[in-house]
Amino acid sequence: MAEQHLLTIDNLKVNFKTYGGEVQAVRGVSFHVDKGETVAVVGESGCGKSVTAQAIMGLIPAPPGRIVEGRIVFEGKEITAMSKKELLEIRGSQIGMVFQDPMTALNPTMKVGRQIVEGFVRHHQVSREEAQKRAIELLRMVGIPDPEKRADQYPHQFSGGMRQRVVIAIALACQPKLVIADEPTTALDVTIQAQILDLLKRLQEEQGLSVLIITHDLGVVAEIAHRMVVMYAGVVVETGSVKDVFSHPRHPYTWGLMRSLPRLDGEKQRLVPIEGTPPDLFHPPKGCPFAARCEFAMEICDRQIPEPTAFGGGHQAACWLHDPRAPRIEELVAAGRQTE
Amino acid sequence: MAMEQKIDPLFRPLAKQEQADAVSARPSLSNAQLAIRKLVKNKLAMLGLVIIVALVAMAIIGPHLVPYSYSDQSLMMKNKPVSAEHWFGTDDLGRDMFARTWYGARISLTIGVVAALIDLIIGVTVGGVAGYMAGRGKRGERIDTVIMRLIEVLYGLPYLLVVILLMVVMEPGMLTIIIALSATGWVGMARLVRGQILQLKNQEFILAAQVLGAKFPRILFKHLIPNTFGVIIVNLTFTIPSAIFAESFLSFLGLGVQAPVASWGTMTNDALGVILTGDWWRLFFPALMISLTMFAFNVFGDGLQDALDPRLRE
Amino acid sequence: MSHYLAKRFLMMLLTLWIIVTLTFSLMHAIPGDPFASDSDQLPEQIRANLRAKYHLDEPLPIQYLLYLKNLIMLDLGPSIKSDTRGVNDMIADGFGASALLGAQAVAIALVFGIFFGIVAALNRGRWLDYAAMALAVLGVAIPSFIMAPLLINFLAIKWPIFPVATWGTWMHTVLPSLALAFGPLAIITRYMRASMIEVMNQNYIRTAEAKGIPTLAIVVRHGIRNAILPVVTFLGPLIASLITGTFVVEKIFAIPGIGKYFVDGIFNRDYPVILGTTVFYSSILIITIFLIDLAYTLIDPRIKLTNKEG
Repeated sequence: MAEQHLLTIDNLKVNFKTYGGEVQAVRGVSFHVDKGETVAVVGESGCGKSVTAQAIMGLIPAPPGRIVEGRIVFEGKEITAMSKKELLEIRGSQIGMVFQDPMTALNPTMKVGRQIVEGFVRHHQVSREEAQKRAIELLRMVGIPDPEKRADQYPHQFSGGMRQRVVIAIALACQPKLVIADEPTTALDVTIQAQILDLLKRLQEEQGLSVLIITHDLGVVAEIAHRMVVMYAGVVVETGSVKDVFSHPRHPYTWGLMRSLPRLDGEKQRLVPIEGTPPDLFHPPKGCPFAARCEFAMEICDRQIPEPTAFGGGHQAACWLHDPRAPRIEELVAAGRQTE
Repeated sequence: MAMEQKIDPLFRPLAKQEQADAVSARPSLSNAQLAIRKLVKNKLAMLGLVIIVALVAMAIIGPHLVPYSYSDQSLMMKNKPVSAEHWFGTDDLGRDMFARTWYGARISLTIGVVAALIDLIIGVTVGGVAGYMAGRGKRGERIDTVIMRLIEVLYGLPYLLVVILLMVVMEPGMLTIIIALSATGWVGMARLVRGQILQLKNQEFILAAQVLGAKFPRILFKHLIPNTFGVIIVNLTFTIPSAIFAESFLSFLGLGVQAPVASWGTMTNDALGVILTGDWWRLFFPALMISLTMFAFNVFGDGLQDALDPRLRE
Repeated sequence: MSHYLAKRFLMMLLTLWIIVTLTFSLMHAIPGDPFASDSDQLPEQIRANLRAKYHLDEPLPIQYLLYLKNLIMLDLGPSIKSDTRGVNDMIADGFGASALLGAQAVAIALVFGIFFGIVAALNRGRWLDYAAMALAVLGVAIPSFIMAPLLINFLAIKWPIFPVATWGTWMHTVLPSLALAFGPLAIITRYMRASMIEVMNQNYIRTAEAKGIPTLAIVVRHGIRNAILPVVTFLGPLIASLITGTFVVEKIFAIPGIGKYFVDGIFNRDYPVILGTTVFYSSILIITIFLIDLAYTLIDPRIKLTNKEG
C-alpha cells in the first residue's frame, strides 16, 4: 500500500442537487489503478460508477454536483485540489477519456481529423501539417482504413463502430498514461463490441497504458480487465483480481451478478435475476445498501455499513457475512437458502 | 470458538417480510402532480396566471365599475387626465378611458381566445389526421402528403400579411377578424400535432389498440390526441397572445373593429398623436394592457412548457 | 446539386404563382370596382375610361392573364389612386428606406440576439441570464407599435437625441430600426439561449472538455456553430415579421418606405398597389428562404443539397 499507485481514489463522496433533493451518488469509494493494468468498475446503472469516472477527470458538472469528501491522487498529485488551469493541463494529455455513445460523442460540424488532434494541438503547440499527420497516424493506429481521406470527413460519414474508434483515437492523441473508458461498448452491436474491446486490449498492451473501464457487463470485464471493483449504490462492495472475484466471489451482490449472467460454456443454468431495485440515494439506508435485496440479510446489515474484509491478494469484500460473529454461509444454505 | 454456539442477536438472519419492511418507501408522484408542483413553484409563471385571471376578471366587471359606457361622449370632458371621476382619464371625444379599456379587454380577449380555440380545433383535427394517415398505405400516405403540402404553403406565407389581405376584402368586425385570424392560424398547431402523433404512433400502446381492433377515430381521439395534450395546451398559451397581438395590429392599421367599438389596438392607434401633446394616459393604458397580456400569457406558457417537459424534470 | 437547384427554383416559382393567384382572386372578389367610392365625383364617362384603361372592363380571366403577362416582364401594374406612378415606381421609391431599415434591424436582432443568448446560456441561473431573459420577455410583450411611441417619447422628446420622425439622415433610421428589431431580437435571444444550453449539454462538449480544451475555446469551436442552426431556421419567419413590422413602424415614423405605400394602399383600397406589394414581399421572402437553405448547408455538413427532397 505504501507503493505509489498511478491513480488512487480515497473515500470519494459526490452529491448532486436535483429538483427532488440531494442525491448521494458516490458515498465513500476507494480503489486504485496501477501502471499498465486494466481495472474494471462494475455495477448496474445509477451505482455511481460513471460519476466516479467524471470525478477523476474533474468533470463533475457543478452546480448540480459537488465532491463532498475524499481525494483523488494521480501520479502523486491531488486532482481534487487542483485549480481549473492545472486540471486542463492533465485532461487529454495525461488522462484520456472514451465515452459511451459514439453517436453523440463527436461534434457533428467538425472534421474528424481536427477533432482527434484538437487536444494534441493544444497540449503540444504543433503546426497544421504536423497535426494532420498525427491525426492520420492515430486513425491508422485505431484501425480505420484509408485514414488520409477519413481525416477530412465528418462524423456522420462514419459508422457507429468506426466512430468509437475515432473516440478512442481522441483519447490516445496525447499518449496519456491513463485512459478512462466509460461503457465503451454498450452502445455498439455485439460484433463491433468485440472488435472495440480487442482494440482497447491491443493498445493497452502495446503502449503500456493503464485503463480504467466502467461497465455493467461482466463479459467485458472478463475479456479485458486485470482487476475489478464492484460498486453498488455508491459504495464499493467487492474488489480483487478478475480471477479471484470470478472464481471466489465474496459478496452476495457479486453472487447475484454472476448468476444473472448467461454462460456459454458448461452446463445449462437457470438465469436468476436479483430481486428488487437499488435503494433510493436521496435517503440512502444507514446499513449495507444491498441488505434489502440480500438473501442473507441479518439484523446488523440494516444498522451498520460493513467494513471490507481482506482475503489476500488484494481481494476484499464488504459484507457482514465475513464477520467472525456471523453464521457460516454453509449453514445458511443448509437452512434452505440457495447460493451459486 | 464459543462465538459460533451463541449467535449474536445482531447476526440473526432476517425473514423476507422484515426485509420488505426495511425498504424505504419514497412517495411517488404522478406526472401531472409533478408538473403542477413544478408549475406552482415557478414564480414568474404564477405571476402570469394571476395577471391573466385579473385581466379576465376586470374585463367582466370593469365596465360596470364606472357610471360611463365605453361610447358615452362628452365634449366638455375632452382629453382629461387621470382623476377621481375618470380613473384612466378621457379621450379626445370625452369618453371614459377606464370603461373603454375594460370594454376593449372584452373585445381583445374574446377575439384572442375564440381565434385560438378555432385554431386548436382545426389544427388538432388536421394535424391528427395527417399524422395518423402518414405511413398507412398508399392512400394514407397521399392524404398526409396533400395536407403537408398545403400546410407548407400556408406556413410559408407571412401570417399577418395574409390576415391583412383577408381583412381588406372582408367587412371589418369581430367575426371577420376571428375568421381572418383562424384562416391560416391553425397551421402551426397542425404541424405540431402531426409531429407528435408521428412520434407516438409507433409506440406499443397504439399497436396494442390496433391489435385489439379499435377503429380509426377511436385510436385518434382516445389514444393519440390525449397524449399530445401537453404540447397542445402549451401551444394554446402561445396562440392566444399571438391572436391578441394580431388583433391589435389589425386595429392599429385601421382594419380591426370599427368605432365606436373599442379594442386595445384601436385605442393605441387613436392615441398615436398624443406623444406630442403629452396626454400620456391615452396611450399608456391600452399599451400597458396589451403588453401585460402578452407578458402574462408568454411567461405562463413558458412555465407550463418547462413543467410538462419530461427532459427537464429530474 | 444543379439538379436540386433547378428543382428548388421551380418550386419557388410555383409558390409565387400560388400566392399571385390567391391574392389576385382575393382582390377581385370584392364587389364593385375601385372607383365605386369615388362615383359621386366622377362622371360616368370618365369612370368608363378609367375602367378601360386598367382593363377592368375585360372578363376576369383575361385580366388575370394580362396581370401574369405583365408580371413576367416585372411590371407590377398601375396604381389606381395615382395616375402618374405605377406600383413599380412606388417600390423603387420606397425600397431604399425599407431595405435600409430592414437590414439594420436584421443586423441588430442577429448580433445582439445571438450574443445575449450565448451570454444567458453560459450564465444559466445567474443574474446575466435573468437580465437577458427579462429583455426577451419584454421584447415579446411590447409590440413594435407600442415600442415605437415609447422610443419616440424617451429618446426623441424627453431626451432629444434622435429626430422624432420622418426620413433624412442616418440619425433618422436609428429609432425605427430599434423599434423594428426589438421583437425579433427577443425571440433570437430565447432561441439562441435554449439552443446553446442544449448544445452545451451534448456529449461532444464532454469530449472536448476531456481533451483539456479551455471553456472559451469550447464555446467558440464546438458550441456556437452547432447552436446557431435553429437560429438560422428562424431567419425566414424573422424576415416575414420584419416585413409586417415595417407597416406600422413606417406609418408611425412617417417614413416613405414600401410599407407606407402598402398601408396607404389598404387605406385607399388601391387594390393593384396591395396586390403588387404583396407579390413583391412574397418574392423577397421566398428568395430569402432559399438563401437561408443554402446557408444552412454551409453550416451543417450533415445536410447535403442533393439528398434533400424539394
